[in-house]
Amino acid sequence: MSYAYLFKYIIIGDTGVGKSCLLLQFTDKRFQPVHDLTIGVEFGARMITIDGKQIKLQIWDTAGQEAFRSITRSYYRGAAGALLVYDITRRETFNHLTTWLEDARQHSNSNMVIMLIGNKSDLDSRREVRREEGEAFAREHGLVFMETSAKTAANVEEAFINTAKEIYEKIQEGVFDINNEANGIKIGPQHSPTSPGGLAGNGGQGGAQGGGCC
Amino acid sequence: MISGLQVALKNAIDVIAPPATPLEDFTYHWKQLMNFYVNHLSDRKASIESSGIPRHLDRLLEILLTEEKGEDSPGPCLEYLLQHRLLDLLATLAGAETPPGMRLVCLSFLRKLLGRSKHPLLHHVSVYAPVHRLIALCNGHLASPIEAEEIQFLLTLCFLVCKYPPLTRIVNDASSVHRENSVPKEDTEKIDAQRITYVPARKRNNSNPLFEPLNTQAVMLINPNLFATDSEGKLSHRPERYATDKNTSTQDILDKIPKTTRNTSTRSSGSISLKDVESISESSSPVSQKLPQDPLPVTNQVVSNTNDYGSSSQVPVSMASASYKVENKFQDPTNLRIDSDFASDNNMEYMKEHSKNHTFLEVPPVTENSKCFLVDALISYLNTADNTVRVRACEGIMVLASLDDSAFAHAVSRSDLPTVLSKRLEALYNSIPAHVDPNDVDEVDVTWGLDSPMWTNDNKFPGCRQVAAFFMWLDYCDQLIREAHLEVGEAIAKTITVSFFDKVITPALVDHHVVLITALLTKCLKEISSPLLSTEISHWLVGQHRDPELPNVWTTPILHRLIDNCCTESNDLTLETLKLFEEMIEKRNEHILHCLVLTYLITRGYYDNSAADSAIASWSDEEDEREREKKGTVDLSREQNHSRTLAPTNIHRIINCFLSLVPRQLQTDSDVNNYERYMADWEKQYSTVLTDCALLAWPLEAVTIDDSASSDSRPEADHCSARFYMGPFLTMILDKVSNIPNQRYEINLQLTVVISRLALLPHPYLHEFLLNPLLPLAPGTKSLFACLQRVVKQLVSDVPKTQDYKHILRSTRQRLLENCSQEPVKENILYDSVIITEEFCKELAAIAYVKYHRSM
Repeated sequence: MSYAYLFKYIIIGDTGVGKSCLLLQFTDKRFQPVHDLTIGVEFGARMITIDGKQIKLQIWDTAGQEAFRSITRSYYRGAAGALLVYDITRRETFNHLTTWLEDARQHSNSNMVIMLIGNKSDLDSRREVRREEGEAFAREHGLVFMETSAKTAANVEEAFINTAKEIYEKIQEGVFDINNEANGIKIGPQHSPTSPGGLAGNGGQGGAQGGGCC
Repeated sequence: MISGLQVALKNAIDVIAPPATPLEDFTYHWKQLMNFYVNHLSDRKASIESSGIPRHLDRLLEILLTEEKGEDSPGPCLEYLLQHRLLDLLATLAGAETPPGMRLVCLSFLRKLLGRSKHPLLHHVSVYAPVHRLIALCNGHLASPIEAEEIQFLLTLCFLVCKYPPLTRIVNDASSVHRENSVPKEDTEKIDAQRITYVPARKRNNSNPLFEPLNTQAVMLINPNLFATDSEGKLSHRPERYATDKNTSTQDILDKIPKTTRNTSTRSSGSISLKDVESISESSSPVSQKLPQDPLPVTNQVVSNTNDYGSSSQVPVSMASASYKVENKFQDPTNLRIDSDFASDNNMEYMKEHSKNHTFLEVPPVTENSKCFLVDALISYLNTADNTVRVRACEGIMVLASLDDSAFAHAVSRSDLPTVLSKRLEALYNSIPAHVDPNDVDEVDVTWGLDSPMWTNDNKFPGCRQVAAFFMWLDYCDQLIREAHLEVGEAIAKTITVSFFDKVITPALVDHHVVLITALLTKCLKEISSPLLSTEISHWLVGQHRDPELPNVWTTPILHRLIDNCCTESNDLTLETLKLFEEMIEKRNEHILHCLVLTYLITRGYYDNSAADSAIASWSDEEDEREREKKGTVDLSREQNHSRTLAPTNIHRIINCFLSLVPRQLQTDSDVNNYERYMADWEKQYSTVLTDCALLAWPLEAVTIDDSASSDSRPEADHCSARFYMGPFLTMILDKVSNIPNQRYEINLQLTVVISRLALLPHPYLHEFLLNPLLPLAPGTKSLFACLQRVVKQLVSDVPKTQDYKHILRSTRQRLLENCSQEPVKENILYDSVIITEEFCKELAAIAYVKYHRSM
């Protein structure tokens, strides 16, 4: 299982919005109507292809309960992407987005790509949050937005893959320092760039970390 | 065959019988479940799959959950469950692991029930008592095939405790368990009922028998007290765990006995799976000693006896008969495999001797100084070989440690937790192979949770996994300290500093792997972000006292060890230690900076007052005037970030000093003003520095304390300045600067990095001392500029001795700065030094200008 890049994601949002179901739908392509409350953090992985390159996604599904917030904070660090999920049939999950976003921005690296997801789009009859509201929130906070249904699988693939695309583009633009694994990105084994030489041969003073000259 | 027939029969009955009430359904499934024990007296080892037990339990759970849908008050099935103490029986069967696999099924049943039920069930004595017994069965010190379920069960309890914080008392107060075993049950329950503050009043309504103190209707199949002899027998032949218990009185131990008995877990010895994900065992590390991989050779069956509760009368008949037979079965002497050597050995002397020094492997959930049942159980999984299980245990501990409950936090801080965390850190540190290249250490960027699945297959460099494991654990400790309740965080930070950094790293700073250890320490310092741990580490590094040291009186052993390490023959060690100093400065920890340099400079002892007064070598007229105005006072009317010390009006003269230091003939860069290209980078870094240092309350201006006001102080001031001591660190740094012509390029480069970091700090005294060559200095005071002048003098006299030196310098410059490797030029320390001095002067000029510019 070789890959060009590995991206680390986390899924965040209130309890019961369908985070675990989204992950299950994405990794296993199935829907589980009765799902035990996520206790702690669950993990899933899948391989996708972007631009002809194999990209491995490692996804951490966090517990939405307040009680587990201390753990979630720990997981923000070192994630390249985050899916921030709310439930379109429960207004309060939308109202809590600001808190989630603040928490995420405060504890993650500044380049983390955040995708806003309004889940349960299959329950349109019980909708409490209009699509436009989600779009407006995303625009205001510079997020990518999408409505999904973990039950029908609508847009689930797209949500994960678009986030990956965004990260991939940022890598191409040089926004992400791919050599710094603290950014949540890892280069695949065969793609490692040649390791930089010793201090002496490497651009003089500027070569030293933080040396800052040259 | 028989069970097959039963299934068929059951199906037939299901078809014929009219729809049963949920309660009838419930009791039916329960009785079916119990029937297994009646029917399998001779065959208790029948597999759990064929027993039908999981199926019945699933149905029971389903009925219970359906029942509470739409109902606010507990329904009859839940009442039945509580009233007849079904969970107690399940816990007993789980403890006995009858049939094999029962424990897994019971843990899963209870986890789902507690996790999904909307009622806070845990406060009922008929729930928490069995839960306690199940917690006690969960012991990560023994490898178990069902670790994953065990940890999931514990994590669910953590969740419940967080959801209903009053539960901390119940789940963690070991004394309540103790009482559970004693006879006056009614009192206990009353007390417990009173302690539950969140139970809605109606739930304690007298009309509901469920919430009344129960009499003795519950049958305890197994009386844990009777294990006393068993447990004592087991105490001795377990491998020793590391000693954590001190000064435990015999009485304490004796008090614990009834509880420890419930930990006499039965694990079949054949079921041990060595999930050897972690490679600790590969090398000699304390962990491997702590993790005895061989379980008990003899499986101690849980023994049962009903003597104490034999008189119970209100037992449903079917249950009673079933349980009675099970008990009898258990009492079969062939199943009581107590080691005869120790079975009788239960005298006080024995207890005393063993309690003093050892924690017994099977009893970690009840340690002597802890009442945190749940925390202790989770702790036991921290050293497990299974990565996922360990991360889950870490999560559980993190949520419990962060609970906002000071009594509970107090208990956690006194538990084994800090010691276990620190011991594991030490073990992982010890497992790092000595051949790891120090240069690779910095590349390892890991966090405790995110990187857990992959670090095992990562193999960037030899020893990478061990290094990663160590830093992941450090990250966990650091994050835990950050998230935990203050008291817990403080306890952990202190323990880690004392038990790991002081006891392990301090002596290692002189051993022969010191280069690697210094690199690891640098990385540790870089990664640590929690304020509490940073403070502890800073005290360890530079001592707690803030007063300046006297020359040659060393009061801070670590700092002096590091300074000595900079002055050894080993270039590698010097280089690594200078990197450590760079990191110490980069932490911008007030205490470290103060003790390292600032405490020596804030008296301004380097400054020559008389020279300033007489305007000889003055900086500029304006400066003099400012000096006169400001003596002894800080002008607060000025804009806060406008410092004249950092922005002297004669900045151009200062910059010229630096730029013209290296004479033309030695300069290889045609454009003297090239220092400007360093500026953008320093500008960016200075912004960060300013933000970081904004709260450090450093003075705005460098001023001499008024010396004209009192005539007494003047001689003293002179006296002081005559004996200006810049402290051991700056002394070492300036010695190294003077030695630039004789040092290897890498060392010189790192040296200039360290000085640049210092020079960038917006501290007025440090600034003028390093960056103002025009400052009148007290006689005999060394300064950075003076040292550089001497270096240049030596270079000027030595370098031109070679004929073709200009050409050599040019190619040296190319090799060093332009990374042009086509034309290999022989390394020469002398020529390298010319280049580095030239560039360093430009850097200092750039920094001086950046700071000037930002302070305008």
